[in-house]
Amino acid sequence: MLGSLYSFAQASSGDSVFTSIGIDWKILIFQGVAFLVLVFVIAKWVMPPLVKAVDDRQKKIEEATEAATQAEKNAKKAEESTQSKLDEARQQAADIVATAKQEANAQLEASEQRAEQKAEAIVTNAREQIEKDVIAAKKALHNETIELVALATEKVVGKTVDKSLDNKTISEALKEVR
Amino acid sequence: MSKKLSRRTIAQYCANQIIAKDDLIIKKLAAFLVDSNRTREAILIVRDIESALASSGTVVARVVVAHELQASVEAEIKKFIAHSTDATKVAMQVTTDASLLGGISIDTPDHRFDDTVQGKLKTLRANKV
Repeated sequence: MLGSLYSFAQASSGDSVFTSIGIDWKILIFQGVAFLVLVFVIAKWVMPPLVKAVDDRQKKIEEATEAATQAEKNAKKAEESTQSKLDEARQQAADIVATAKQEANAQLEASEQRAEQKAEAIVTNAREQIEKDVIAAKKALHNETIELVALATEKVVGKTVDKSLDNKTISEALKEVR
Repeated sequence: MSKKLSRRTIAQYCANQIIAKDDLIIKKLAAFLVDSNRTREAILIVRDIESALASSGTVVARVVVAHELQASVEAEIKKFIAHSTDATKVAMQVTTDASLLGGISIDTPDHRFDDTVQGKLKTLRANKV
């Protein structure tokens, strides 16, 4: 078809406005028709699949972008959730530490109090024991002194008192009682 | 069966006989106690006799000393007993016990007077805690 078109163009060529400006109207027509055919072919067979492919790709890109955006949102959400859980966990840990410190302090105070009470009880017991020991020692001293005085008196009186002294003592005692 | 005589009755009878100067009454009493198998009551009866005599104004006193008494001191003791018991007559039994160390102990039916050194030491020892 192109060959015939080319031959028709050669046969009918002559000098015109187009040839004065260097344009061959026959070739131009031919190129125009060829162009139109090309456009037709491209529009019919090339463009649709190409457009479809581009559209598909565009669609995929949009989907991917949307997925990415959604993923970003989810990630942000997850991060926020994690952060809030971490904050919560930190707060709980802080509470636990504070409670443990309080309990430890309370236990320490209680232990100190118990130790103080025990020490006081020991001191009180020791004082009582010392008092008891002192009283017992005083009693023992009292008794020993009495015994020593009695023994000394027995020994001294037994040796020094004779008949006349005894009689004199008896006489004086009787006078005193009267 | 004869009724058993009480100690008091026996003692009062003996005391009356002693006051009446019956010298044999003690022997009679001894015989009675042996006969009636009441020898175990002898000491009690003697004390009852002494009490009966004291009620009648005759006091029997047991005096224990560490050394022999002089006559003047003995007289003083008799005077003392008579004054303390309101007795008209005092019969003293004096014994010597060196363990008393000194002083005098007078025992009458109703009173006891202990002024011995040993007695005082006993009192002192009794103050032990």
